[in-house]
Amino acid sequence: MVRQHWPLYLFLLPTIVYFLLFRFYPMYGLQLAFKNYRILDGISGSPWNGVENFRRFFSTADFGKLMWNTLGVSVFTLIFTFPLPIILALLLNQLPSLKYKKLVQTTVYAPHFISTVVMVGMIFLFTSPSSGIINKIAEGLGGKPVHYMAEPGWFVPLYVISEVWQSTGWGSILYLAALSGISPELHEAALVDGANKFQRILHIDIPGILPTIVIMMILNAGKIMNVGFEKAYLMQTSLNIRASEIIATYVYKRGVLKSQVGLATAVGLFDSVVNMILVVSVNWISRKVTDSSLF
Amino acid sequence: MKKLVSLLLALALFLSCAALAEDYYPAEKVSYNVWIRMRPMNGNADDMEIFRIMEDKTNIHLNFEQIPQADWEEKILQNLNGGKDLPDAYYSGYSLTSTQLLFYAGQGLLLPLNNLIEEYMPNFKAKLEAHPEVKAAITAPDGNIYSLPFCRFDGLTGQIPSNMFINKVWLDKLGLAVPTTIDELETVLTAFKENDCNGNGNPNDEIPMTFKFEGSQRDLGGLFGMFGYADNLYGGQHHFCVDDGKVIFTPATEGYKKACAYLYEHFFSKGLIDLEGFTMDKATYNAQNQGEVANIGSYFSWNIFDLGQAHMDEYVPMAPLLGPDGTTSWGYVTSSGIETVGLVLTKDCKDPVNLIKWADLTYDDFYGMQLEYGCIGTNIVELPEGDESGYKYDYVREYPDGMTYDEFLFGNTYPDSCLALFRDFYDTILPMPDSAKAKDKINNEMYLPVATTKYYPTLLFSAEDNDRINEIAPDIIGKAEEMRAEWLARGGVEDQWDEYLATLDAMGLQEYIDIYQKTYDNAYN
Repeated sequence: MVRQHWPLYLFLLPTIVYFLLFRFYPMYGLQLAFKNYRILDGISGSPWNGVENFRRFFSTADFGKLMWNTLGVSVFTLIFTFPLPIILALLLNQLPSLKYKKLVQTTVYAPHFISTVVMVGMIFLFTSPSSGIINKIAEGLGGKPVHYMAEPGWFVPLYVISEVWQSTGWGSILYLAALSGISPELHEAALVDGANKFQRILHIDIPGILPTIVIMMILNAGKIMNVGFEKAYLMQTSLNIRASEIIATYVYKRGVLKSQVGLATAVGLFDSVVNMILVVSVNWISRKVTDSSLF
Repeated sequence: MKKLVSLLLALALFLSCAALAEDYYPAEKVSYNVWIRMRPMNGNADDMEIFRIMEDKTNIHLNFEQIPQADWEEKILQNLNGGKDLPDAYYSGYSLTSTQLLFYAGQGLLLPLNNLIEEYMPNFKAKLEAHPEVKAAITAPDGNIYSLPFCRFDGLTGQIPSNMFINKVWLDKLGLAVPTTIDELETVLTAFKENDCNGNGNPNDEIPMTFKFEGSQRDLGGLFGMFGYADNLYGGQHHFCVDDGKVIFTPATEGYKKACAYLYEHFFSKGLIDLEGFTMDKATYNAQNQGEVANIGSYFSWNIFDLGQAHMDEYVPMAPLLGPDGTTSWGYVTSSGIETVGLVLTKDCKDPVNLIKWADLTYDDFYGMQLEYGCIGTNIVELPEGDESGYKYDYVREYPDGMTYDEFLFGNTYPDSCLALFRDFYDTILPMPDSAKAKDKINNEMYLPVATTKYYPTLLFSAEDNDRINEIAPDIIGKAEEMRAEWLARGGVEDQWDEYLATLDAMGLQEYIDIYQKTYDNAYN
């Protein structure tokens, strides 16, 4: 087998090495979740302390709020950033003019390349109550300026809107690729039968990319607990903190800045377990409902 | 017996001096890897004249890993948490907080320096003998010293962290005087808000008062003094003050509640204090007021030139105001001018002796001065003997094209590192910088007379207490500051106060206060 198909195995090798090195080897450090980390004793030499790290995390006064905020941000992000790239890809796919299509694609990909730090800087500038463009327009139309970054209620909308702006174009690439795999004969046959554009999208395009959509859905379910830490952290202000303190920022502040490595690892492990449960259940549901699943 | 001892001591001193002259420093060049924290204003450390001068003198070379200030904390903590590949030393006046220092010292990552100081640091030892308060501030409860401090007793790092400044040009234009009571301040700020004070035709671009919700310098915590104790958000003091030996956590006092309610009702709800103070970062704060005309009516800062150098001339200092019941207080610090951590040596430093010898040179005022204020011939001039000013040196006051004093200084040298310049230095060798002198005057005349809130002094906690603080303080401080922002910006303190106190109690507030009280008692009683 190997000898016969050795080029294929060769192609596989880098991926295996990557996973061993960067995905499996670090799991060795997971034991810190149950340990009181002493730096000089190292990871394996530190004394065990049972579930003390977990107890401390769950008994945090604001645990409920942290959980709620984290889920709020990620669920809303998922609801909006998941379907939009699909819709965009379906629309782009229908464009007859190749030139125009390329132009639109390039334009909507562009925001993806802005770094998070710059992105958040832009959010602050645009939403400033004294000089931000959004408030200037609102004032010009007779509205009152809103101090967006100071309102806990605006944290999630701003987070989601900027996320949509940044990721929709990039996310549509995958679906465009899937769409291009659909046989043109199907469309031709439908045209002969007198199907209009909408009918063709509904009955050819969407079923054609449904497996891709399902797989992306399952993969995204596994990321629910890892909301973009950088962005949430940078968008935090003393006035929106009640909405913007999520598990990841909490871990950074307590675990990294206060050197509580055990606590940080425990929370990381907790996140992974929740993610794992979500992936398995979404996968199970999808296998029952659509017949396509990841495993 | 005493005589004999002193004779021996003198002999030892003589011998060490003799040794100093000969092969005190290594014959062959010795190199150390040192992480150095760079401010945005700093030039390239490898090109700094003072480090070259010190290298020539000591034959000790520092390989700098230059780390920008913004990344410093995260990088250094990652490095320490890994516990491997540590540099020989971390270098800067603010390399670690004292909590971090004790944590990593307790983990065995930092070298205790007591014996090294005793044997190889004659300059530093002399400084410690002359200033026992410095020794008290850097000695951990286990008796060890893990860091070399940065001390500068020049008025800028003075006893009063924060001052208020107000736009005199605007006041004159409106025919108003500098306010002395909180009511007058309200009147003045209202006038600032309603009028086109800067005369640019737009009556809406004036910000009556600004501040920044962070630290002790640009925050408005001083205003809380009118209702009881002044408050501060500075890491080292953490809202703690000491009244007659009793440690008080200000955010749980009745005066604090009144202050939040009053400031919301009379200022924030009317738009008299800028809400962006809660969301601005430091760069944004400092970049304000740089337009063609001034747009800030009054502000909090450690120094007049901190904000809006373009319109600096328009501002005058404002003394603490009398509160609604005619009383006031302002916060002061007793351990001012001492930063505990200026240089720390790690366990990976194989040959600490020479590095310590290098560091001792920075406590020789001749070198310390040049580190802090620039090299002789570049930023400093030597005065002729017997100059009428009574000083030996003075500043170069003409800066190259378009440079500010700070740019000129920070470009050429590395201020605020391990060194110790005390009052006697500023009295006889080099005068205080003009900005420090000005601040000193404001403090002495306007602030110190009413500064009755004594902020908690810089102290080092025992390893055990330190761990406990590390565990409970983030929740308590986080809650207190979240609610402080909330009440000032949106009100509601009356309704939420009891629930808030209960939450703090549940988070372990009493234990937190007890630890601070115990440590204070051990140090001062």
